[in-house]
Amino acid sequence: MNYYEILYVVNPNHSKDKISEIIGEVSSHIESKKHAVVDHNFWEKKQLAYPVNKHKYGNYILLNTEFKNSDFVNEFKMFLNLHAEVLKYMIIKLDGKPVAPVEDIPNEVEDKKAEEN
Amino acid sequence: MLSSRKKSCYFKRNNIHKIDYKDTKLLNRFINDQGKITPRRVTGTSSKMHRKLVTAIKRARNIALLPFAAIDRD
Repeated sequence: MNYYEILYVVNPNHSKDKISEIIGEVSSHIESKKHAVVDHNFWEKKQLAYPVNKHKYGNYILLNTEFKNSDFVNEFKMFLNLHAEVLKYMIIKLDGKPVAPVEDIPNEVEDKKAEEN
Repeated sequence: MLSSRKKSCYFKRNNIHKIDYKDTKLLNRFINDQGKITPRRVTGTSSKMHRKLVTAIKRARNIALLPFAAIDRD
């Protein structure tokens, strides 16, 4: 049993409804193969650092899963490759259970003040 | 100008142990205008954290959160 974090980008022109439809589709694919979805949410619409399929923006969706066997990773990769709406994806194996979202980063200005004192 | 002050690791100072590739605000501190990773000798990052930082930046580049090369000619 391994935890995986998958971040994928879908077409920026989709509405919220269409995005939740895609999320449901992907979740049901995983669950149909008896693997668990820990967390699956729309993250943000962001500007891409470089154009992907001529798109300048992308809707990022974050997915945390628990796959029973690592063979499913390749199968899931194929599923994402063949999914027409997914522009780009990345699968990362996690060391342990997924952690809570990132906290705010401390300000550099405060650090400098602290150093001077 | 010669400075006697030693550079210190940003992550050690702020008690950060894990670097998330999705945290582009943090990663942006460690890349230059061209999108290149700033060397350790400039930033003063500890070697342990620098290795983690490099992994995070490369992951972010892979998923288009950070540029591989940023040259804007317009």
